[in-house]
Amino acid sequence: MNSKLPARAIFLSHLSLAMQLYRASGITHPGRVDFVGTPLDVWHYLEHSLNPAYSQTLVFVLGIFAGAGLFLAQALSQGQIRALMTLLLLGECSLLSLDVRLCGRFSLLLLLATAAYVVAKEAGARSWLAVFPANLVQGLLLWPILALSLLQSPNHERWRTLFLIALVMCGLWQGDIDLLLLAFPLALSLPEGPPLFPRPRTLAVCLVVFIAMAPLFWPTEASRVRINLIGNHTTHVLVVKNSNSGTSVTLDGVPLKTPWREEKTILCNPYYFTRCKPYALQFDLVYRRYCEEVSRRTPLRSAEFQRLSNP
Amino acid sequence: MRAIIGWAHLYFLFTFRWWLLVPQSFSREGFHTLKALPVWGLEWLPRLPQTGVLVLLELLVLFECWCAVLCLKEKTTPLALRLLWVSLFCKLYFYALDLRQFTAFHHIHLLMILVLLLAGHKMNYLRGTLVVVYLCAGFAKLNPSWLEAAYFRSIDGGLPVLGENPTVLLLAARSVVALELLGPLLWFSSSRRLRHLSLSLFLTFHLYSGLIVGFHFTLLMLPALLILLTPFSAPVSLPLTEKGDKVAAVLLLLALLGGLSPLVLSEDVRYTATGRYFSTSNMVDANRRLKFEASFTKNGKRYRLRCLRPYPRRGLYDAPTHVLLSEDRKPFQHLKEDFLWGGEVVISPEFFQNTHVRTLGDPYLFLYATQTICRRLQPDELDVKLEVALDGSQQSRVIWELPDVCHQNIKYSPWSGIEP
Repeated sequence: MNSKLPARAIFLSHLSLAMQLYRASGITHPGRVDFVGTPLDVWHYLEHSLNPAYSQTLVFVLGIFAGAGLFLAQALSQGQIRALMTLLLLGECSLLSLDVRLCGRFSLLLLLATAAYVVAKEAGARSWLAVFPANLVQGLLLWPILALSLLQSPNHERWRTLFLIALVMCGLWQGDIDLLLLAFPLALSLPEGPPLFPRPRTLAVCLVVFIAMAPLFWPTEASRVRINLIGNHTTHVLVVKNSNSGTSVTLDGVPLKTPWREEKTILCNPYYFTRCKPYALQFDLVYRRYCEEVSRRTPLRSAEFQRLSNP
Repeated sequence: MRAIIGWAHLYFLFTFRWWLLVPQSFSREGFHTLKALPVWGLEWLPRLPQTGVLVLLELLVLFECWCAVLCLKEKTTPLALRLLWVSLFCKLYFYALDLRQFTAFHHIHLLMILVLLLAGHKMNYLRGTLVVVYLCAGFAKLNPSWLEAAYFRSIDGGLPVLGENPTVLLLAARSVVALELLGPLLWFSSSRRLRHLSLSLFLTFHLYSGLIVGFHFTLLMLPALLILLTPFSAPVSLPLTEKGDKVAAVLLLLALLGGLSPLVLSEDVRYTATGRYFSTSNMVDANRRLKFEASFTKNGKRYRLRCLRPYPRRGLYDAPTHVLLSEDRKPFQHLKEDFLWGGEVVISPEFFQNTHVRTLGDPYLFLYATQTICRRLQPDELDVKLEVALDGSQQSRVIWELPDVCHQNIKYSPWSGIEP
């Protein structure tokens, strides 16, 4: 029986992502006024933000679509599933483009898995497991077992069990339960999927492409970024530090826990950085956008950032 | 049957996933640093260290995912049904560690799981559970907040799509009460058209209310309605032919009686929160504004703690709780970090801030905070005052006021509240 498990796994993750986006303030106008949110360059900071009621409605509708896909996958044709996934993909891409800080490893990999399903159906989704490793060590452990699990050999069942165990261990080590929750049912679906033949080429291409892409999605180590804000009479230094224990912001050496204001204007909201997904902190856009926006809010001679070497 | 068991496991999965965001509610560290509100009399429950809580919850998420996958095959579904016992005990354990997690949707989920596990005619009694749940929700709304639409009218900006028109809001509020009280009764009708009408209205209601309350409640009710009541070819019936049916019937009767508590108790329970957690409803029975003040002296220094929760700026939830402290008659300052004394946390702002809308205004929350100050700080004297205003009204009612709390013998019961 084909339970459409890979499709359900992807819909479940979309539902999970929608729940996370429901109260995301960086895409809304009040959030932008409070200086959170990093839109892509094509969007202006304040003009292109949503009324919270609209953003929540949009996210809720996307969540309902994902829930419908999750519960009704059995009754849907492959065409309908792919159409629904395309809709989710476009909707979430547009929301994430309004606040790049939300682009965590999970959301980006989920979008990739969705695209893989739309392009190569279940085989594509299963081969997506190749981007799950968080580093080369995990890759060297998981990739060979995955390749052996995908091949229909007599020991197929054993390889699949081994892969499941290795995947759960790596997933718990990574500490991203959402990502593990996407990968786990995909791994469970390995033995019951449609025969790999007659389209092994699609699968092989997917697998190679994803293994090549995996390093792009490896989480970063600790990072430090220094932002120099030079005014006519004063100079301020912000340092954004990201480590295993979380993200912290200091202003002129003092921890910044509440918004830094000049009269009524917010010049830095620590949430801009501390509620940014750790993966997104490696995007230069996050800091560039901050410098642009702070320069718009207060007259500065220069606002620039530089990445510091790790402590 | 496979669908409903799968849905039950999926809701467990979501629950454990949500709880992963608040591990301190369940951990030993959280208990000691005042990040949890123990359920009455259950302070003794063993708690794991925070790392253990995180790992256990992660494993439970995966376990629920595996159980949901088992439901995709006929052969493995009975195993998934039996494993619901494991899920139930795990959820009950975590649930009993922090009263602030006591929400209507978790109550409903637990009730449905119990019925699913115990009833002989499982589908019949699950439909019966929906009837009870909606009736209880209707009972809880038989107050001015809903019958006069005071709640809806107090929401800044009104409701999505419906706006702020008082007549529309009055109609909407009363329609919800009527639907919850009469709609489920139509499910017993022999007329298929009436049953379908009622079901369609409930589906529309949940889709709309989801825009306001978010996913937690909608994710529970929408799939349950669709799985249990479509195609709705026969009216709801509750046979009593098996032993399990009788147990389930007693459970539903108890749930119904619990839901009647707002009507049975003499005081206005919207203020006192008495009996609140014994019903599957009462989640959104009023819009609240709170002011709690505790003034105490220690070593000749006077402290004043103030917790303020204004009416939401918009919607139902958009209202942060402000926790302020004044030391030695200086102006109030926002308390951003835990207030420590002798290495122990005496006041934690998060304790008040991370509280679900259902626990807001519950005097027990403030009693526990006060008793912690008494125990850990041992102040010379401590006076408290809790005021609550409802539905946009600027007139507060004093719910609890007591001088020198630490030297009083205070008794608390969830049915009768604080008795000095």
